[in-house]
Amino acid sequence: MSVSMLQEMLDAGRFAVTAEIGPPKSCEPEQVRKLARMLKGSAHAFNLTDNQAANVRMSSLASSVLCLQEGLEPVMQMTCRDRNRIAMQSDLLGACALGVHNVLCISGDHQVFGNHPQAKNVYDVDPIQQLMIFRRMRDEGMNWGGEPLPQPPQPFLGAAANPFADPFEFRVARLAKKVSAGAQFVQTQCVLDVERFQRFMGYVRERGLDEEVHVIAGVIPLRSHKAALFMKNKVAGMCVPDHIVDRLRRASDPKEEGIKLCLETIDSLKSIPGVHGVHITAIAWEEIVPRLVQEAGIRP
Amino acid sequence: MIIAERKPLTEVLEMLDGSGEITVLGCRSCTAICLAGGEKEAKEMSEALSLHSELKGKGWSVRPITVERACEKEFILPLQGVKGTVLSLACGVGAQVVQEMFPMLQVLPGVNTSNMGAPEGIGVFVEKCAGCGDCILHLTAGICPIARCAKSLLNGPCGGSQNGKCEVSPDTACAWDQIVRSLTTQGRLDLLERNIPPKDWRPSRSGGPRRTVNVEAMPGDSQKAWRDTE
Amino acid sequence: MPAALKAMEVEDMDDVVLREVPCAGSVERWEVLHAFRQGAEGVLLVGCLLENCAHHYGNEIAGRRAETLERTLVDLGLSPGKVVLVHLAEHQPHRFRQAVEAMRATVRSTSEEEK
Repeated sequence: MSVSMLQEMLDAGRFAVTAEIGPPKSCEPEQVRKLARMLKGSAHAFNLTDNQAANVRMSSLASSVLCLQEGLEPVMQMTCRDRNRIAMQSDLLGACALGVHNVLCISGDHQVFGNHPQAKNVYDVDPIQQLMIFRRMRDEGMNWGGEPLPQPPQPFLGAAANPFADPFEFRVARLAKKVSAGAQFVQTQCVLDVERFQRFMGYVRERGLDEEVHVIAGVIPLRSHKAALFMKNKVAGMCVPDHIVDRLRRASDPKEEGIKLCLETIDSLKSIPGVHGVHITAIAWEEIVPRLVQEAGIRP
Repeated sequence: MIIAERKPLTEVLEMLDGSGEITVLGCRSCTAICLAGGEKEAKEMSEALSLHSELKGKGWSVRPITVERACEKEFILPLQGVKGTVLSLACGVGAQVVQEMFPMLQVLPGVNTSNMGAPEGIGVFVEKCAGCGDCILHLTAGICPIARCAKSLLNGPCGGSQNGKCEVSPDTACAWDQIVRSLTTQGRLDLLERNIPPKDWRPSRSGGPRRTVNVEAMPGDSQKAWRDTE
Repeated sequence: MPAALKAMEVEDMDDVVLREVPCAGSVERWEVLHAFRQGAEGVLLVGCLLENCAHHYGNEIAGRRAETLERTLVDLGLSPGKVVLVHLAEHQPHRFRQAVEAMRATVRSTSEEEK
């Protein structure tokens, strides 16, 4: 049984496409709707980030519902940074009640990166424990405290994986932990270093994890070598090979080169066994997503 | 030990505005070791305050008193008879015990009490323990992720761990990187595969202010009374 | 010390009070503050030449303390430059005199604004 189209696609062995929508920094539902209308049909589901980079934005739940209203399937991201286990369970119940079933459990960027570095973080639970809690609610029909839920929520549980963080040897073990905690799909950090990602996937298959979880590989279209350098130097847990920076720097039309590069990446990812889809993060360049999926031949 | 650092002098001066008799309290325990509030620092603060008072006509009369351990009543008896303001260079615990013992005094903090840690190098102190009340060091190669991971993660490094450093700052070691390395050295990597379930935070601050009772240490009568209520 | 004593033999040093210490690094911060309370308008910390430190770290410690004291004194309401660490050898009384003159100049130029 599947609770969302994303799950249906993935379970049916179809190559899934997800894309990211960053909610606005103010109360502008029209912004979400505009993006939603533009991106409709370009992916199976859309991630609504949860105060990304620890900046206050419209909540991922509200933005998810706006997407639903526009006929898009949302993936609601939920960080451990801002909620304790009480709020998490409450938000999950609320999300599923409103028809938001894809939930991505993540630790979240540390608040020092955002616009409220003075904030106290929560981290009552970590993403693995978050998955354990949500799975119990769904599969055992009880909240983490042990009280029965007459109508349990039906989430499709996702997690993040970063093959480019350290220690490398442990990244697959961490994925295995997430899978055993309940992750049904994982979205990875953006792949720019395909070689390292292939090595990662090798270990994933070695442990048979590709049979247990849908790996959706992250991709990012880069607009310039400056964007590449920013990712390399400023974004935690990113790996940007020098040849990519050079290639964008030398290109006469960096934007086109970035698109080409992204298409090539998608192409190589498609051929890696165990990769069941791609997740496109086009921050502030969402309008490129329809073209990307069209030219990559992965339009749903 | 408890790590503290001196408050900026200007903040202290502002706090003391309007005082008359000022006693600078030093402590020879933790804050002396982290060079924030020992005998020398108390003397220095006392001289500084006197000088400021003389320069600016504040009319303060200042003297230092340094005790062995400001957090135990028995050791703060030298403060008997003191009047007015006490500027505490002892930790927040010491300051409160002094205030409790001498309710008429106005006890002000001269240091910012920060954490439970250890010296790492000369003048460098690193947090080690968050006092969560439910120790799991046996699962994490003797390195506490509650205190030393910026996100207090219990199941391995997040995606921000790079080259052994935490995403929060290049000066901060990634605790989970250290744990993975340490477990590798010890041949106990199997521990990493085990998911640690959500933690019970009741023994931590989340259960409210804590009161720890060592029944064996109680006097006979109260021990009996305690056991009867258990 | 011998350099200072020699320098003191000439006239015009009545406003200088010498305090003998075994090493510049042995002077605690509270002692310097105390000197100001006793009426000093400026304090010269006189250490050995950098390469001649008899106690290996004496000059380094004195240097750190002088920096901290500079900040402290400014916070307390004095003008900068009232604590200066100088390095000299036994046969350099002239350098001691130079340091005293420089300090006098600092004190003169700032005594007005502190009032």
